[in-house]
Amino acid sequence: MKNNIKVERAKKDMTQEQLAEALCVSRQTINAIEKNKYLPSTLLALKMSNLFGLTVNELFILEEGD
Amino acid sequence: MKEVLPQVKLLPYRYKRYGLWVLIIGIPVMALLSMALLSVGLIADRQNFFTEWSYPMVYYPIVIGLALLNFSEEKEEDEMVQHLRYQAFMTGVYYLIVGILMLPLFTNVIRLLEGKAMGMPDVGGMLGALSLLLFYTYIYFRIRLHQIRKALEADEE
Repeated sequence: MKNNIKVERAKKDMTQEQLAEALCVSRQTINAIEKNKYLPSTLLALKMSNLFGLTVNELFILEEGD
Repeated sequence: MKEVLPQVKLLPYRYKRYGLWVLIIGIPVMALLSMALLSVGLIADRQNFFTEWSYPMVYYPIVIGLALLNFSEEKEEDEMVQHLRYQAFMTGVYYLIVGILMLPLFTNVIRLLEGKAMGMPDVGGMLGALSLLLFYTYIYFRIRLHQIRKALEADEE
C-alpha cells in the first residue's frame, strides 16, 4: 500500500510535527506512515483524510498484491 | 470512539526508572536479605535454602524489573508504539517457545559430544521461562523502536 501523505502535507504546507500534533500522535509515527513502515489504524486514517479533505481511498492506495 | 476490545492499562512512564532500579539493585538486596534471614536463624536448613530458594531470590527482581519495563508507557505513547508492543509480545512468545523446545536438543547434543549421558536441562522453572519471555519481549520492542527513531533521524539529516 502506498500513500500520498507527504504530497498532501506539502500542499497544505504542513510539517510532520504539525501533522502529528493535529492528529495527537508522535512525529515518528507520521514519519513511519509516510515511509510505509507502519499502517495506521482505521481511526487514524479517517482522521488524516478528514484533515486533508480527501477520502481514505484518495490518501491510501492499494497496490497489486495487497 | 469507544474501543470494543478491552485495553491493558499501562503504568506511567516513570515506572520504567523503577524497573531499572529493581533490575540493578534487586539481586544484591535479595541476597543481603537472605543472608540476614540465615544469620538470625529464621531459616534453619541452610542446604535446603540454597537449593530451593535460590531461584526466587535471583528471578524475582529480574521478573519484577522486566515487567515494570514492559508494562510502562513510553514518553510518546501512541497507536504505533502500542502496535509495536503487541508485536513484541507475539515475538517474545514465539522465541520463548522455540528456545524452550530447542534447548534440550542443543544441550543433549553437547552432552553426547562430551560423552555424557542425556538429560533434561533446567531453565530455572516457571520463573526462568517468565524472565526469558519478558526479556525477549523488551529487547524486541526496544530494537524496533530504535529502528523507527533511527529512520526519523536519518530523514532529518
